[in-house]
Amino acid sequence: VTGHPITGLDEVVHQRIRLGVLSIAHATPRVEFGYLQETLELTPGNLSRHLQVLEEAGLVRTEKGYDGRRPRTWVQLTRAGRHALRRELDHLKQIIATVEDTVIPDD
Amino acid sequence: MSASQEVAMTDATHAHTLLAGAQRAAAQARARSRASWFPLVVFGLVILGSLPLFVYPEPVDGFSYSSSRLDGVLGGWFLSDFGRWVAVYWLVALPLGYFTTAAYFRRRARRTGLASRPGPLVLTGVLLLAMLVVVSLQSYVGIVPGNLVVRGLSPLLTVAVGLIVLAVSDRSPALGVIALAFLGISLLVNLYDLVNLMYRLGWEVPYRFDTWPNVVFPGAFLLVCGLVLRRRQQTP
Repeated sequence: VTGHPITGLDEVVHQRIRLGVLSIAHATPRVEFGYLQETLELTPGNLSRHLQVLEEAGLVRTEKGYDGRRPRTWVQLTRAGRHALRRELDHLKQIIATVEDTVIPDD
Repeated sequence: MSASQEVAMTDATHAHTLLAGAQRAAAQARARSRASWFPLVVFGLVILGSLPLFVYPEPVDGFSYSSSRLDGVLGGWFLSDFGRWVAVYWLVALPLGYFTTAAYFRRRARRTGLASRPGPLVLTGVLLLAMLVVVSLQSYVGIVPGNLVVRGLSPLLTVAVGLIVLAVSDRSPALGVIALAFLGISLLVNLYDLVNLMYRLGWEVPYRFDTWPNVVFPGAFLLVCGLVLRRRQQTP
């Protein structure tokens, strides 16, 4: 990465909720809408909007189905989503490291 | 502190908050999705369930080794034909164990909203068991070392490798340690009669139950580890 690490941040991923969705989806093969909603403390509409942004960017795939009569939406990370998450986490670590190097003086 | 440094500090604080939140959410999801205790308990019970088959019949005049190839690799070489039933048991019980594990993982995913991967364990276990059957039927001598198959416990090695694969796909160090230890135990009970050790320690084991220590040790190990892991994985 050239320049300040903050210039490399992806606007789609650099957001608390969407980063949370990607991180959870990375930790497990598939995650259900209800788990995301409960864990991230969101309304269904709010979560849907964030999922739509991620899906349009090709970072997640959603799959709708039924468990008995109950509708279920499963979210799965795509390969592009995995790469985007990795890049975002690397950038965040670089931002922290840069500040530690420049602002906090050595003993 | 200069203005630019203050901006940098704010960026870093924001980055730290985002990073910590993401790592916490991922760790929580990973911990809640793990159900690797279940196959340990299932296969521990499957192994212990084979005990009634590992009872030597009353001594008879003359020795007759099991003659079928399938008995030899899957069921062991014994002084009777009960190896055949051991082979049949493994061929039925192990696939049933994999099926039960996959069904449990699916049910748990529906309940928690977090899927876990039974595929690597099931595929590895079933493929290795199938390979063992093919090797048994094709060429008995030469491909599989005789010492490794005489006790009728070679299918335990397929379970051990399956559990190692599950530990890798689950990114679970605890399961990894258990699976590696179980692989070691599986090799030991396939290559050595634990009853000899018991005799040295002064414990008498009736002749008909000579093989039991080799079955009880790996089975009880998996069962105990599974129950301990269950407590850990179900504690929030």
